[in-house]
Amino acid sequence: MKSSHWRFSTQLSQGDYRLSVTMEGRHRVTALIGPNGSGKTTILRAMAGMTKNGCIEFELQGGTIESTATKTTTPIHERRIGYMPQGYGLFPSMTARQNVAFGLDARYPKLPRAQRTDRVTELLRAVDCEQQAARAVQRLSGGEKQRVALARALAIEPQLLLLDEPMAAMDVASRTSIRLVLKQMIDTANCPTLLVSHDLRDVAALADYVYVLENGAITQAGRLDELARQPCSAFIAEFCQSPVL
Amino acid sequence: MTGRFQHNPLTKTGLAAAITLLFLLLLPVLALVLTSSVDAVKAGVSNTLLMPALTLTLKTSLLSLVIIVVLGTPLAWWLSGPAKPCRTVVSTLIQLPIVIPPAVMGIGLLQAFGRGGLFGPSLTEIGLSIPFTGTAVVIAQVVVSAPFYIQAATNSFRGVDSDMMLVARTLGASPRRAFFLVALPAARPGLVIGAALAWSRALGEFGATLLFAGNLAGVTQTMPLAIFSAFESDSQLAVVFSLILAALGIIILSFLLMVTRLRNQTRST
Repeated sequence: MKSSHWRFSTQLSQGDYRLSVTMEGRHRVTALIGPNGSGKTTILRAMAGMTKNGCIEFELQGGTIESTATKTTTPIHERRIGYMPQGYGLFPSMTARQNVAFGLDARYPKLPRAQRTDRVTELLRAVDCEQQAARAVQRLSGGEKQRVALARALAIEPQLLLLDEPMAAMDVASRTSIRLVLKQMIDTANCPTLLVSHDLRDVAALADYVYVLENGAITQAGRLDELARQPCSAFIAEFCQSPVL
Repeated sequence: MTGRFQHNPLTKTGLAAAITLLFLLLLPVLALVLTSSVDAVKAGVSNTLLMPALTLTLKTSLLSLVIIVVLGTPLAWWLSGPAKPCRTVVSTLIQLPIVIPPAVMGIGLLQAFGRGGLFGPSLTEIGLSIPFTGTAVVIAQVVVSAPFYIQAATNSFRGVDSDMMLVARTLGASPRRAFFLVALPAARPGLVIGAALAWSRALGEFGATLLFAGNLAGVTQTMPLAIFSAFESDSQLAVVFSLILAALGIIILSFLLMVTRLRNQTRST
């Protein structure tokens, strides 16, 4: 059996809402799909360290990040997790370059200035945004924002990359090319990734393994073709009904 | 199209109501301008009461503003967090100086810091006396003006994207670093507007200052109190002093509008 990059299990409850999930990341890109409101973003935020109530057991690259059982919690800023939320979360008062440099400044304050500049330039070049480096992020197009956010998340060389609906703000026409850039970046970074998406094409193009979250629980897991062959719920059957497969 | 409607037409009744209110709002300033003469303005500007009162007003109101921003910003940040009973209670308590008349706040401050007040004896023991001093002017201004800043700053911090803050933390920023480098710049336009509102309130503070700090020329006499004193002896002088204070208010309003326009431009790009 392939050893897992990460293992995450949680039991959260808020009012009537209950979430009980166990997932393992044995592949480079794992996808988490599910209907709207099923708790996908809550899981990503919990992995990033944003949830204070509920039970969480989270191991990453062999180390414990959070364990309710042993009362262990690694502070958010000490976890090496790159997080790209749905709206990208770019810092509006900064340029694209300053956004990408933010993590380097915070994590490696003693990094020589020239080295930091080179690293930021390299990352911006990798996402084809070198020309936009000095531009305020609010003046970037949707695709450019997404690529800058990705470069920023990868700048800290994360042990795990969390992507929440990375294509949600894209128009259909630009999705194909941006999906390719995203795939190249993930491959180059060689970083285990958990991708939340409601778009079959994203999942088909990027993910090696898929978890399906419905009604607060994982209802099915496997490769996308396995899910398509034997869907165990109407949601999965509908999700997998596409000429892409 | 940015709003729900491109045009907001008024009915005839609505138009009449709007014009009436607009007229009432502008009337005092118009009356001040129309009833003063160049000679009266010259005489007022050279009056010995003006410069000490104007200097004291600017000094104390700016000092009050610094105190309000330094102490009020962390409080506003905390208040902008998820709704909790304690936050609701504190938020309500902070609004009290807005609904309680300034004169009542002045009496309250006297009862707190005056000789017979709560802290009076302790302050006297260490040789401190606050009422009827410049310090009292600043305290009165802080108490009546701070709620305006805190309210605006809290609303502005509430608008800061929580995902943005989480991203900053995942990138390695401590809570303090994330606050100073991400939340504060993102909330800056609202903070500036809140500060301008608090400053203009401090500039015009009268009731609490009169009762707690008194009306001592050159010591605690701010512009509103100088207007009050002038009005008792020379109404034309009071008009000129009022014009000067109104001009200060108009400068602050212009600044507010400029900041608001800048914020809208930033959002639309």
